[in-house]
Amino acid sequence: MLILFVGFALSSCFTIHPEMQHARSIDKGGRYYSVGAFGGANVLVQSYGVAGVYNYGLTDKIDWSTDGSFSVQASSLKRAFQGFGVNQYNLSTGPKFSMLNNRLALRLPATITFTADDLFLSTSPTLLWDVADEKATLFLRYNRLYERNAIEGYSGDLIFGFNYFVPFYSDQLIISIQSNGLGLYGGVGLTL
Amino acid sequence: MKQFFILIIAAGGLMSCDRTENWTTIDFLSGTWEGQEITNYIKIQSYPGALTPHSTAHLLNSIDTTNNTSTIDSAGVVIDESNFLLLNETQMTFSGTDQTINWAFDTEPLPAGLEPIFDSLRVLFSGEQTFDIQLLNRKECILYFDTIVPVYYAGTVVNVELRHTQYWQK
Repeated sequence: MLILFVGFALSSCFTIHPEMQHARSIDKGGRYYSVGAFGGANVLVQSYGVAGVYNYGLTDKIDWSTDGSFSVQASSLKRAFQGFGVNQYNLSTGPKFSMLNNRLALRLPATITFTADDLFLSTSPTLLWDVADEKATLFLRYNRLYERNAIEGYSGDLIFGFNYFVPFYSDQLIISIQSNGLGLYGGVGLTL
Repeated sequence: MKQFFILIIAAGGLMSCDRTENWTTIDFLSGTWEGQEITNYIKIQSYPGALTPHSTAHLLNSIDTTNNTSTIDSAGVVIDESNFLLLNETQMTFSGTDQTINWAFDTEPLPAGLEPIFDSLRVLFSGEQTFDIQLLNRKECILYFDTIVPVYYAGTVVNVELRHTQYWQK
């Protein structure tokens, strides 16, 4: 059973989208938007998608953070455009608590994922850590499935990565790299 | 003279087109199809599945609608032959496909952990499979089936759903 689990874990098919935000919270009543595109591959399949983040400042330390993504898994980008792939829709929403002078944040969103006619509910606690004078953010996201499944011991995916923020006119360009340890994914985004 | 040339060009254009408005499924199926890709989407209940695509660009599928046969050719070598029965305009059954398992399920790039699924499928494979014709026109053909594959592991049975899709083009 362990081998079967490893096989499925290797082909883990939850979206490996970037966290396109800082740990720093926004001011009460403020809003934060970012959008981007991402892509990457594991041993079996390539993934391409778009993602967006919307945060609303509930207090100076707590935001309501929502992110969504659409991605396609296929053997290549060409096949994805030809429609030979599996689509995945992902929406996470929940509070984001910033602490330690805004250097560290914990997101606690509920996540809904729709792919290949199946719906999955999960929670995705995410740790964000601003480093290098907020030029970069490290993140760790654990997407834990709500429903148990037939594979003993499997409960979710762990994703780690970082964002690098580059000034871009009045906004910031985000360069992001993330992995679940089995595939490597990258993204480019823009804060608005 | 100008009108004559226009008439000639229009007539030539019409004659060069395949008139397919009266074609049925069997007419579209007939001919040699070039392999594009096969995807096997495998999932366990409550787990978000794994897509395992592999290229079939080396395959030719010659469909003889007079004798109802399908011949799979790989680089000039016949690797599979089967008979087919068109059940209706959207479903067909291939039978005698003893070798299909070898080209329709490419286990080489798969993690070792997924191989038991294909081993179980190989045991279950009866050489007969009904496909849904998801798309069929003069240029493209997409065939699909899904099934539940019991995978046996250390005395435990896990039901794995397999969604198999074949893409062919002319």
